[in-house]
Amino acid sequence: MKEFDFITKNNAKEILDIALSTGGDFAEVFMENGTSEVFEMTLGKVSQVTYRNVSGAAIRIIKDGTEVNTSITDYSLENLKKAAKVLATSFVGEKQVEVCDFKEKEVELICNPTRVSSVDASEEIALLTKASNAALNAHAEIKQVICGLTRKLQNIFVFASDGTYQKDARCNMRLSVNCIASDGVNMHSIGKTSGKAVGLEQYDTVDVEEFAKGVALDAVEMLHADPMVGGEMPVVIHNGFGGVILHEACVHGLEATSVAKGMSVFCGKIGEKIASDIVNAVDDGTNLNAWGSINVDDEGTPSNCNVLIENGILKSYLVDKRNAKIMNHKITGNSRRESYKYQTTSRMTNTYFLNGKSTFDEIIANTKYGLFAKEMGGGSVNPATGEFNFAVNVGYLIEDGKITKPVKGATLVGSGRDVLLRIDMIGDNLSCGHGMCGSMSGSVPTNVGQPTIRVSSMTVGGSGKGGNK
Amino acid sequence: MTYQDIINLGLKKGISEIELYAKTSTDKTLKVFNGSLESYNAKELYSLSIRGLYNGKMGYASCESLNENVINEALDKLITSCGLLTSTEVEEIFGEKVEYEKLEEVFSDATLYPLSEKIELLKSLEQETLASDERIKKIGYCQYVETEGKVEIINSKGINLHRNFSYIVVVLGALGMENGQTNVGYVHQIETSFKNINKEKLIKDVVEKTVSGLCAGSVKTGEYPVVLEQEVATDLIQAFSSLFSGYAAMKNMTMLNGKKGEKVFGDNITLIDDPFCETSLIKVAFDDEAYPCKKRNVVENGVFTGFYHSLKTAKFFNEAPTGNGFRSGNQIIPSPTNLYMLPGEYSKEQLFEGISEGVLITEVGGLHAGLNVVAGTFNIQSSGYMIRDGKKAEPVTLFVVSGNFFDMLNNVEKIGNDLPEKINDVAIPSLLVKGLMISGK
Repeated sequence: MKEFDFITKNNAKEILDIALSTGGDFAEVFMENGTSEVFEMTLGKVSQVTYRNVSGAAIRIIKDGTEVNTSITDYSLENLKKAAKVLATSFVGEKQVEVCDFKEKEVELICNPTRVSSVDASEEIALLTKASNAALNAHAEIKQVICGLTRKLQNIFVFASDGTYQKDARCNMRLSVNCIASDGVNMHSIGKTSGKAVGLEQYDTVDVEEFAKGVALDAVEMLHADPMVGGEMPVVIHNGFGGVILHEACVHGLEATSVAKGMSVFCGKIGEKIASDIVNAVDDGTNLNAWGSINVDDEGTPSNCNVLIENGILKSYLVDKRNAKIMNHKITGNSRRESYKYQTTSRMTNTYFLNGKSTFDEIIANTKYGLFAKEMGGGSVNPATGEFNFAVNVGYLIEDGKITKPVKGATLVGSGRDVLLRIDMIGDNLSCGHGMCGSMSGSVPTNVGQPTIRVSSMTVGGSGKGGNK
Repeated sequence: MTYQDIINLGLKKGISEIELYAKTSTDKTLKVFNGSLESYNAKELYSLSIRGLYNGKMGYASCESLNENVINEALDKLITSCGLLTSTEVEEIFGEKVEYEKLEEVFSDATLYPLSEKIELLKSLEQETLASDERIKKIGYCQYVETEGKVEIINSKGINLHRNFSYIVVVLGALGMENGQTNVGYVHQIETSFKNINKEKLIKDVVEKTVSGLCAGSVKTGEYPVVLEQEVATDLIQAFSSLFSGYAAMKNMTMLNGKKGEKVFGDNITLIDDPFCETSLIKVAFDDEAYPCKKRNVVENGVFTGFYHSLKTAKFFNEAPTGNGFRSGNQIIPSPTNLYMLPGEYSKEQLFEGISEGVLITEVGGLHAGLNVVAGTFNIQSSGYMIRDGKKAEPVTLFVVSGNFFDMLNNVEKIGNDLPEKINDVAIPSLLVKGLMISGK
């Protein structure tokens, strides 16, 4: 990675020495250089192509639990030294810690992009055209189709006083299809994405047309669907993006950002039962080329498969270097930041429930009445209370063990403590959806996933009046 | 490189008109937890957004450095992108000599006070909040941010403008516990003067928010008269505010398309976009395209008077620009400056009067998820209180409020008199809505 070659090991040590000169316990420099591009097609025409060059550095020093950080756009050697010097004045004292010898770890490449771009963007445009045409031709009521392709290339270099010396090159690419169906009176929009931590090669194995057509037909189906009638009922949440339930209802509350401060309902619960016995969940940053995977995290720690819940028992939190000390917990390789503009902290990678023993058909057949949440939208949680919400983008009623009519506008709310204990059936059809998770250290790519699951009872919101039956 | 060098280089490369939008900002953030400084973060950021016309198409690129190689690549990418664009919308760069509203520049006095004084403020906020009610167990969020910066717009048609921004934000979030139930409350204050940070009010408000929501029960599913508290009404209407944007109109993503001049909401609804708003900390004389801003009623007595426009969307609809062309990432998306609703005459208590059974909503969550802006529908996680016999009664939580944005603003029975003293971004008073669906038990 040539762009960081101007920093030799001696330079790196010199900067860290300056940072530690006033008594810091730990100092770290994170440098990044990359680009972020957006290609957008509206109704079959290329409507936007934008390019952003992102480059900068962040320096942080930790002393007795206090973290001081600075983010700068000019990362010349001279400016890095200057910034380290200014930052060190946050503390008063003598140097306490020496910089350890740098050791660059041999990291197994989990994400290995082979075709990040095409020469004249022809492949990118062709991909959008294919998706756009398939969606536009799917149904006469499709009135708007906006397809987007985002590509983020990021080269990072992180070195720290604990001997960390790691470089990595990342690529994240994601296709989005947004469709609006309209019957002249009402409108309804649905969007879906497909992405990986590699380049264009990922779409060689995705039927982009089928994917786009599916989004369009969902929009039409939901346009004509009756509004969901709210209440408490069993909810069957489908595989793929349905895993947003685990993401919101539980794992945000397992991130060190909440746990270290005692601001999570899952504080002090390691070894305790937090979910029903059939529940197993992991956060796995090592899934080959997956959207949420990373070779190393933003502190230079290689990513890991962390078992979070085993047979209903809480096994681990997601912990970065700083919080590992505060919590006396192992470092899990989950420290992430959107860019040098954010302070790095514990975040998710690919988070999902593992397969269970039921089949999809069994789950539906065993449900007398309830909601089938086929496609989920986003959601949010307050980790301190565990109260969460997420939107059902495409829903159906289940009546007498069969999927019957489509329903729109369902929102699921609940408390993370209760909902995990109420999972009473888990399917064998694990798959993942590709989201962007926004939290304290910015927006990062994360996979959410699960097999189809059933929650015995949840509060379902909707604007429908009367009864669904 | 200087800005003039960049413009000259762009012109030399064959870009016919070029505009630079530069943003410089300094941010200092302090967080206190458990009586000590948890973190201090100082950011010095710079971004340069370049757009230019090449073969009649507008290309966009940006970077965070004035390094010649970086600028060269950005300009080349801009030119390449123009070759890829096939949409036919016409874009232009503004260059008319016009009179802009003369606004006094606002500077915060934050830098006059040492960091130690700000840390002390946070420590005392944390300590005194904890001491004020035994049900408050933790202060999870005790944060001070001071931001100052400058926006510059320079283009090849003779525009050279700048505006500064400068403010302080204090955020306080508390965790309350009672009988095994937890609740979290957040409050914040935005200011230009450090001495105006009202510690007592922040503490009183956060305690009230946190404690009064404890031991909340559930609501029975049904249709109720609903009072949306000021902050909730603001969040909800802000989340739908893109429906008024010329961008949404151009993309056929708003039900307001073709409704200019029509009555779309109740007579009592007037929404005003006021870039010069006296009480706002952010006043703007020109938008991010250098077009002059102006005060405008977006909705007047229920009648929709027209979309917010940028130069591009105005041209698309053959209307006049409105000075609402603001940057959103690498694009210009028409959006409001300071949008507020004309307040009514009712106090909070008067809003409850006559309601035998209703719901007061004081918190909503997941607005990014529970909304289908295009459809105009919302289904949102909420918490608040029951209203019984005209009075605020027991707290309730984990329910969903559902409705349609258009129906809702046609069914506002009373508008509160509680428009905030300072209007920043969007401000809506409390609203009593005739009937909204509530899903709970």
